[in-house]
Amino acid sequence: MRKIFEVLQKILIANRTTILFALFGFILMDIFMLKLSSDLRIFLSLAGYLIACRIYSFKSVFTFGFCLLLLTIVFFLYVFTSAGAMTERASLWFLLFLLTGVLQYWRELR
Amino acid sequence: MKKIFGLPVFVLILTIAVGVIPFFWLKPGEMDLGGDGSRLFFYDPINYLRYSVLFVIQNVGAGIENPLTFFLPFNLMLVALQSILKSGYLVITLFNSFHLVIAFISMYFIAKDLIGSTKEKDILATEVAGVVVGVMYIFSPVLVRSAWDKAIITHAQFFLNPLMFYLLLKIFITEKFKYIFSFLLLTIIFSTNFSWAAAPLLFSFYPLSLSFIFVYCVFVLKKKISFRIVLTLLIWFLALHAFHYLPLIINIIQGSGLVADKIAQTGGVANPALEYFLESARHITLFPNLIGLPQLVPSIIWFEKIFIFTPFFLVIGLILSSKSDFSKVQKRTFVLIVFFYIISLFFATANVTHLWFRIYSSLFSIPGFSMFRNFYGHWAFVYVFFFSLVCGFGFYVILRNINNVRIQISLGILVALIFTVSALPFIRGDMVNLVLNKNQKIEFKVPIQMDPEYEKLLQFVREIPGEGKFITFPFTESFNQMLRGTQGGMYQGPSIISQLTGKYDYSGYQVLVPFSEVFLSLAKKQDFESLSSLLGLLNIRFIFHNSDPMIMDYFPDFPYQHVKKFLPNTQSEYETFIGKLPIEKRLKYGEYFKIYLLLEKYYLPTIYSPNTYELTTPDIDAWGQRHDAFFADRMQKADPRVVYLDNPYSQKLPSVLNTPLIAYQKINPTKYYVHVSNADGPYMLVLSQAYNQNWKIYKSSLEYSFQPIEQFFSGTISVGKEKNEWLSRNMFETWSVNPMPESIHGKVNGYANAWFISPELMSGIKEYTLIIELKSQRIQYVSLFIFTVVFVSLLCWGIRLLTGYWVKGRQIDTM
Repeated sequence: MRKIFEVLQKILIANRTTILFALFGFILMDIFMLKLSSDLRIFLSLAGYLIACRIYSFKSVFTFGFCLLLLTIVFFLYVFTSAGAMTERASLWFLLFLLTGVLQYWRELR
Repeated sequence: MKKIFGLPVFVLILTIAVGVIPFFWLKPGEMDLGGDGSRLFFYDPINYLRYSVLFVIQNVGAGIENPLTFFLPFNLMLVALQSILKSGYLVITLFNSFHLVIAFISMYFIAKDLIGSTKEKDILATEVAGVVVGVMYIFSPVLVRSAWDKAIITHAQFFLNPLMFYLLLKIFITEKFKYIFSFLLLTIIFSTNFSWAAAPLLFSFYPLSLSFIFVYCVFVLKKKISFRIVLTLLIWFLALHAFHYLPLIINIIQGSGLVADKIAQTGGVANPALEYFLESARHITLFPNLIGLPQLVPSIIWFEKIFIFTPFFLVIGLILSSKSDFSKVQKRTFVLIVFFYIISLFFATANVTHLWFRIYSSLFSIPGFSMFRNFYGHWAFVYVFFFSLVCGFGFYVILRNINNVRIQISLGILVALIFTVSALPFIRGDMVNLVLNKNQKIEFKVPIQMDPEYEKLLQFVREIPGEGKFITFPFTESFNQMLRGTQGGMYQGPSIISQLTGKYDYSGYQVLVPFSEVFLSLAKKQDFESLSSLLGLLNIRFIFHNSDPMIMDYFPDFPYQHVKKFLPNTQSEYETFIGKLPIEKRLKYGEYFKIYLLLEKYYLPTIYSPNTYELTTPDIDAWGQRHDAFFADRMQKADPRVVYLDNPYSQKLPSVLNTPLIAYQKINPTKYYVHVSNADGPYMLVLSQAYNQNWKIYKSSLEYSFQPIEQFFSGTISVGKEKNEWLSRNMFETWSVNPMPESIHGKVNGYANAWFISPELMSGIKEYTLIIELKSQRIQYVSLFIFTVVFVSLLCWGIRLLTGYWVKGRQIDTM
């Protein structure tokens, strides 16, 4: 069991960029392609991100950078499509990642 | 940086500029009156105090118990201001100015304290960020649309929230007496904002703010919270506010009164608050809250897309703060503000994931949580407060990373200008000068200059020595009356007669409960005989008709839309309608204001002894409205002094009731003396006031006599001149006396009080004096006494410490 876990960890560390891109891609898909919002998708993605933070030792500044990216998406969506469903979903992702980052930051400051 | 009164010069100039803004809103002599809270206390604070605040009964309809004691300190302050300024317009304008100045200054100081930098190089960035926070708050697109028009008095939270937050912050950090004293004094003056009337605003802001201050002190500043301070504050606060909390608690325990009813609205299959929440939550989305834009109102900013920059301050500020040379305290403070901002955002939005929405909905099964049914309106102030702080702090972090002073100042000016320009309609006064009837041929605005003829009428009504309630026409579908001012303004609000003259008034459908439906039905059928019987049964003697065509012709919808299906649609139709009622005498003030008297034979005095009783067959709907006109044939009886019972009375009633001679006098809305003579047999005594178990009847040991000014039913009922005594020599006469048994007290006529008095109860005596009193008024007296003692103690404590400081010149402002 421990060996499986170690192998898994090695794979994850080796494919860090791919995994992050996949996560980001999943979020973009949720914003742009999927019509209905799903709590399961949201919380699973956040959980996956938190695991990634643990494995890759991401600091809160990385999460805030991610938030900045999401906020930029919100900005463009608002400018070009007004306050529609996609803007709303992007805002939700931004808020939840902001909350994640804030909790991470507080922990780092302890 | 040069300072005057502790403020940098440029901040002082900005503060003065902010204070001048409300002077652009109203023209001299105008007052923005009306709305749910009427705001008539700005127009005539003395009479408002006399007739609406001093007694626990409101002069609305049949007289509901709704103490406004919490309003007393603020009302007294208005009386003092009016006596100095002699102008309702000036009082309102200065009060609005006070709103803006205090909110701005408080936010500025909060921002500076939380930023907390003492470094020389950070001074400019701190000052600019402080100003930006103040401007962001007062010109927030959300708050400038926050019901400034006909603002209810709890709107004072606009400046009270930041001010109280600042004082509490200083109290727990410095433990200095001056902040405790200021905090307590302000809570007294603005006690309305700490009363049940402001419950949603209280429970949305203070738990979150106090939690923030606690975490900030303990985990950021590493400072222990003094238990002594907490206890001192709590005890003083509760003691000072006992004058309105005590009646409230007793009402809740007894299960009587408006508040007890509101708290009971919870759970069950039909939860109106939850339904309201679910309906309004559909329209509230996350994105506008994220960038600080208002929801549910049309946009007044043509460039609102620019506000997307505000959350960028927050995120960039967080990124920069984690990398730069900030102290741990500053970093923690920043992240704490962001965290509380997010919490407030969750509460103000509701639609943040399905899970949170379900949790939020489930909270409505908690008794009292129904107060948050208008969640957006209540939480908006809280989230804007934290939003301004969060963006301001982020802005400070950004400024701090810019070494160029000119760029720092320019950025600050740019941000402040964006908010100021977006608030130009607000600065211009558009939020106060609202049009009540848009798109009509003649439009009327809210600000009004009172018609002198109407003021004469009010004075006349105040001086009517006799008794009897009013009904106001045109009748509205709510509780509002309409009154045109002399300069194109229109008052649309609660009955002015109710609030400023001491006379009860039925001004609309909502006030006529439980007879609203049957009244409309009879009006539609043109059954004037039954209508008149109803008016008499309700103790209505006077009909006030404002025949101004402008108050009807240009208001096709609110407030007449529903009632127009049953009642006249124009003023000339109303003239015909009133003419068909059995009226006598007509008084006219000015061109439009008329008062009619209902014919005496239809009228039942406030206190009467019925000749007969009848059992009704109640037809009451789910809303408590009656549909049975049980009183329709009252005037066909030999003696129209009938009492109607929905259920058999708790006491066995004889087939014929005795009708002794009655002479009574109203001492105040909560007390009557009744002299009964010739009480040969059992009789009923009816009090035509809304049924309330707190109405008690006592045997008086004193002889009471007065000069009757009116007589009814061939002199069998005599009425003395109405008084309005709040404090009197005999006010304690019933306090040590037991009332007559509650078993003789019942609800009659669908709304009124009655007591069945047998000779055995009076030990066979046939002539005596009774006192009918609303027991709840005593609670007000007791709680005000407690308040006076505590308040004087607080003042003495303050004076002692301050004089000690002045005399001895030592720093004694710590406890």
